[in-house]
Amino acid sequence: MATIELRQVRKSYGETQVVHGLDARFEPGEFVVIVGPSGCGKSTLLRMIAGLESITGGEIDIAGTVVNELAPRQRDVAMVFQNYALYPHMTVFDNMAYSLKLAKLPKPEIKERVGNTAEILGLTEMLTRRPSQLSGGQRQRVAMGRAIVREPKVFLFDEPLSNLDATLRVQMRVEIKQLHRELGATSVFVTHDQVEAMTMADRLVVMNGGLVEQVGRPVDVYNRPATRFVASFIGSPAMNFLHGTLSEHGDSHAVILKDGTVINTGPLEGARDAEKVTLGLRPEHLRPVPLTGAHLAGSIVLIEELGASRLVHLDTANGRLVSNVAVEDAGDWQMGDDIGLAIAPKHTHLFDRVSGFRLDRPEVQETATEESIAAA
Amino acid sequence: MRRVTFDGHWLPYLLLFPQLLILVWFFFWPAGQALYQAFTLSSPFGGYAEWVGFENFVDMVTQPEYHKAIRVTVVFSLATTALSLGLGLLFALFADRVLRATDFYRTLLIWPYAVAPAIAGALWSFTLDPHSGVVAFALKQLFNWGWNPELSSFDAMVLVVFAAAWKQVAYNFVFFLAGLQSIPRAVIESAAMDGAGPLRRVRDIILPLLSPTTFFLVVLNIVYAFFDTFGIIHVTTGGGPGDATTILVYKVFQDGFIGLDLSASAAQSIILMIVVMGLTIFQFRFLERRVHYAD
Ligand SMILES: Nc1ncnc2c1ncn2[C@@H]1O[C@H](COP(=O)(O)OP(=O)(O)O)[C@@H](O)[C@H]1O
Ligand SMILES: [Mg+2]
Repeated sequence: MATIELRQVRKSYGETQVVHGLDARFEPGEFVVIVGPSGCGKSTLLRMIAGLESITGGEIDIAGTVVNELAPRQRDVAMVFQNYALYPHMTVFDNMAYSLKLAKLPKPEIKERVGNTAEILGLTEMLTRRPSQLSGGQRQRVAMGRAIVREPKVFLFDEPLSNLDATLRVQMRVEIKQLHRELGATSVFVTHDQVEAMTMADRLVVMNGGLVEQVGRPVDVYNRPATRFVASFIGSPAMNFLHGTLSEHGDSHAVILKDGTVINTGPLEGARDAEKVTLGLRPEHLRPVPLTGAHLAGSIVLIEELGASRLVHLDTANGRLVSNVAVEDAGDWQMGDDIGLAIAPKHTHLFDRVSGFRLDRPEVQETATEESIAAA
Repeated sequence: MRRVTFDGHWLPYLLLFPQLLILVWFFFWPAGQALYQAFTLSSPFGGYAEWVGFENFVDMVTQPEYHKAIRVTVVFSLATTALSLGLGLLFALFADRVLRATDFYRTLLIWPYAVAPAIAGALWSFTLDPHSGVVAFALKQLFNWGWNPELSSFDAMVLVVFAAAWKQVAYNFVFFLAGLQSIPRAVIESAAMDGAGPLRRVRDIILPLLSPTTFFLVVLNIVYAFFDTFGIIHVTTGGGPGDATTILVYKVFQDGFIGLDLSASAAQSIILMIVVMGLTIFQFRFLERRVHYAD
């Protein structure tokens, strides 16, 4: 169990800076997921924590020690790589035992620890095989085993599931979480897959272009994305965005869209009248309603069947919208039909169009207060 | 794929003709001659030839000079192979680590390979010349070592080994570098994470994964040391002092063209031909069967 602290961590390759002054603190035993699009600097950050990449500026602190100048082996950190990176000329046993041999552990203890780890991962039958004789999922397990057997302070994962097929990926996702619960070591998991990120993280770090956009519990990041980027990246199918202008109505607010449609947003903090904003609406929050009384209306251009629900694509006067409609709410719609959609004010997300920052509602604060009053 | 067919039969033969002519003229005919001479005893001035069966071979293998030449060849080729492989690997490790093989560095290191053996020999003769060479001077000054390959057998061997290995380092470097670059970076990084320092990583991970390359190069370098180093030895030591650097190939030349004992010389070349065939078959057999580590 160890804390990881990043203080103004920067990384440049020559003239190009790819990580720009990151600050973060990962608590002991936490499962942190760093998520962001390809090329945003996730691997670079992880490799700096591992010691495989030099740190251009700032400090990385593991368990109270600044590790900037320490070699990987002095950091007591294990890493699982995307392509498994097993030693192809060694058996599964030797792959897992290598770090223990280097640590000069006595032979019987090595045997016992590798045996136990293999047991946990269901690899006991494979110990004498070479990596080339294993399936993708088994190789993945060996890579995990190689990390676990060392009992390190920190686990690092660099997109370890992206080479597996969909079924296996879901299965490994669950297994990794269970293992983490049993072992309890601080883990940093990097992925570009937001579903993986949402399902696995105790805490989510959303990165974009070498910067942290938001840090928080998955549910908070989903409910209150701090920037337009986070809103667009987290959630599937992706959030709809419409341009509009803010208007004040007493102590509440509303957005006036391009065609004059007014969408009520409830009270917003720090909002300016007539501010240019982007309105974000999640597909799953857009409910189909009769045309009279609808907030938004449009004609159907495409219906995607998902089984439990349907993705309905609409052309509206304000642009394209996607609504995720549960099967029981869906009508007998045809292409070209006009349908209406409604949105609850609490499900609207507003972002300043220039800065991209969220205009927040004070409601979360209020709920917390109500709860604490109720508790008292 | 569509099969290419020719109308009539003359075109393929016409296209093959120059190659066949060269093969027959420069290889099969002399090889046949050598075979004939190996089993006959002929006058150095021509004229008559007497069939003697295996007598030439018996003479050869009972000669102490021939045993000496075998020993010299073994020492020379092992030392040359070890030195040229070692240096090639060392340079490749550095290049892989620091430079990720810029074309400039690679080009620079491949140059010696383009130098003719005799030129390489001349170059090292000058450099290691006991009277005017820089190395002799430095050795004398630094270690009070009276370097003289004209008198000392050991010094002469060092000279030919260096000259022969130097030419081959470039070649080995290129192959090792290609081998190193085909090892996935993450595998080596994994070893670093597992706690292996740079030397341990070379020993435990890099060398085993390079072994197909190394094996190929060992055979190649031995063949080179056996057969392609004539020019170097001829220019530097002429096989001397005494017969300290007379390898088998050089002895063929000495016995045949200096001693004018064509029959003994031919018998020796037959043996060398068998050796080179053996090595080639060995290489093909094993190279194809080598383990290729799939990722
Ligand atoms: N060795 C390198 N030299 C130069 N640029 C690099 C190097 N490694 C990564 N980069 C650049 O740094 C940025 C971040 O890369 P990376 O951390 O691998 O992104 P991610 O893992 O989020 O996909 C990318 O723009 C990439 O091109
Ligand atoms: Mg990456």
